[in-house]
Amino acid sequence: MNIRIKELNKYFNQFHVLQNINLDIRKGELIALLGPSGCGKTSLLRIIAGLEQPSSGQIFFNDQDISKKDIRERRIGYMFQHFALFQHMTVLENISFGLRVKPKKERPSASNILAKAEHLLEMVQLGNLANRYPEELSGGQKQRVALARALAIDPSVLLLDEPFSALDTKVRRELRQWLSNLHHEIQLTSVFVTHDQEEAMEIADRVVIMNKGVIEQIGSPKEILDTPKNDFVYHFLGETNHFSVGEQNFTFRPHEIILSIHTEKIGYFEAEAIDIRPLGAVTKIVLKPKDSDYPIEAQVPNTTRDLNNLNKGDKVYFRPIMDFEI
Amino acid sequence: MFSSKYSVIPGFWLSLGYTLSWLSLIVLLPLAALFLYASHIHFDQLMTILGNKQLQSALKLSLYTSFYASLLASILGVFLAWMLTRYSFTGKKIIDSMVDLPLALPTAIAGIALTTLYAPNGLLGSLLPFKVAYTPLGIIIAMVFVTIPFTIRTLEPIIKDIPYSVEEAAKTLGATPLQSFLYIIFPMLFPAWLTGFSLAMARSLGEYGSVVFIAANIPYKTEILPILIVSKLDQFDYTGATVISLLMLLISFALLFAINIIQRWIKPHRLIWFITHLSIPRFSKKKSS
Repeated sequence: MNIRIKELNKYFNQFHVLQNINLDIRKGELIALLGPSGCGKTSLLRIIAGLEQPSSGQIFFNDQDISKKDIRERRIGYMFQHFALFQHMTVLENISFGLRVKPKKERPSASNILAKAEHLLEMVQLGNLANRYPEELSGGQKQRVALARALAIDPSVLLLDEPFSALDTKVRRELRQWLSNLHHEIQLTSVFVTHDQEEAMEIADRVVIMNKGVIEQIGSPKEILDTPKNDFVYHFLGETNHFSVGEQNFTFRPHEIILSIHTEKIGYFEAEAIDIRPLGAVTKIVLKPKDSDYPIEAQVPNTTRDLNNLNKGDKVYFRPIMDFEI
Repeated sequence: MFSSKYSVIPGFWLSLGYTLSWLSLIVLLPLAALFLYASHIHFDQLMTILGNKQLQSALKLSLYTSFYASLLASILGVFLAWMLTRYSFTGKKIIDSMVDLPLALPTAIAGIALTTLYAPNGLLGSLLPFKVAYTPLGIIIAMVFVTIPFTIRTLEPIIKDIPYSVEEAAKTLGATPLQSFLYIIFPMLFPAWLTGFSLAMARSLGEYGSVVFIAANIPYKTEILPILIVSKLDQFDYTGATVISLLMLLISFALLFAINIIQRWIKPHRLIWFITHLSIPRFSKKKSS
């Protein structure tokens, strides 16, 4: 199902949290709403869900205006940041809840409900935990139960509010990849909110970058990284270095740099290596340019030649390989 | 049980001894004295006192007024506690402090105020088509007034602990407000609700100060047990008063004990199981493999 958001505004008292939002989400897409906290991304998600009412504007699901429709008629799957599982129900009861509360004439038979719940349990790889209670599960397991519960009602769209932020780094990585694979499998239109740009870049088909209630840029991860529309987007997407010599200004990412330990070549600037940190695939080197007070962060592949010969305090020569004019 | 891990209150045996001594002085000794005094009463005498019709009707009245009062107080308590925790409105702080007033106020004042209001020529009493003061209904109202703080204050922390997102989750899954309440909120509240109910019941059974004014204490009609005890004492019938006191003690203890047992057994998930049985289809529990 596609979603179209048209001229949407939201005020909380005097505070204009969403300003004239227009957004088209295509069928089967995985969209990330990315931005710093307080940018309005969660409000937008909650409005799409129907947990919050817009002050003005419309939302269309498949060209049908659902702005006035009750949350229960929208048939959305919603995943909460802190799981929001029903503590007093088993995993199986949690998952089947949405089916069991359906009005009598729409409700599947008890055996169908059970079959469906078990199928979902298998899908989220928790088949052996059916009769556990949420408090007996790990964070990652809880989030998978929450996902199965949301999928049980055959939602037309899946909305995820910071789905991985309550998990530790390793679980977060695994679950992120797993969710991305699952999305490719079931092709359900999905929107997820995150403040972690790495997360958005890694799994989203398109990323919506928001700031202070406004959409700054919409595009695929590549488009956004390659052609950031403005200063905010560029800075939000990662570390940046500023360096100026005379009239020349350079703004570049840590990896957009060439280092050399040999004496001056043309276009290279002199600096001192003040810190060297191997981080696995890359090594981070903090440089203090000779003519500038601001340190520069460089990231080079750990396979770089001469890296082993580099020590703290050594002289290094660097050249930004891409400068970005704003 | 007697292993003493590190604790902020030092000296396990010292604290235990100290606590027990004080507990004995304040609670256990007076109760023991009651039993001691009662042990001098002959069995025949006991049966005569217990067989007394006035006592039996007072007992019945005491039991059913305090039951209905606690039920009413604990249901009203849910709404009030919900309102005080989930909504913000002007004057909330004032209402919040007023909740505890019945605990601080001498109950006689409550009784006199309620009687004035609900007397046949009183402000509310003259408007109502039925009699309130000097009837069991009046007794119930007085009891509700006195016990409602217990029910509100036991529920409040539990309601605060229910994350709002749990209700929203139920909503997104298609549950109606009634279903959300029945399957999600109520099972979570029930243990605290029952505690509030039992505290209210215990308090109502013993309530004297407010009821004495509003009940008019007509034997066989509006005379509850505590009032009967005092009237026995007024007639220097110490034996009768002792027997009734003992009876009340046993009833209160049995009630609290029973509720304690129920509370241990009924966990929120058992409750949901029970409710689910009533109305929505359930599936057979499979053994986890």
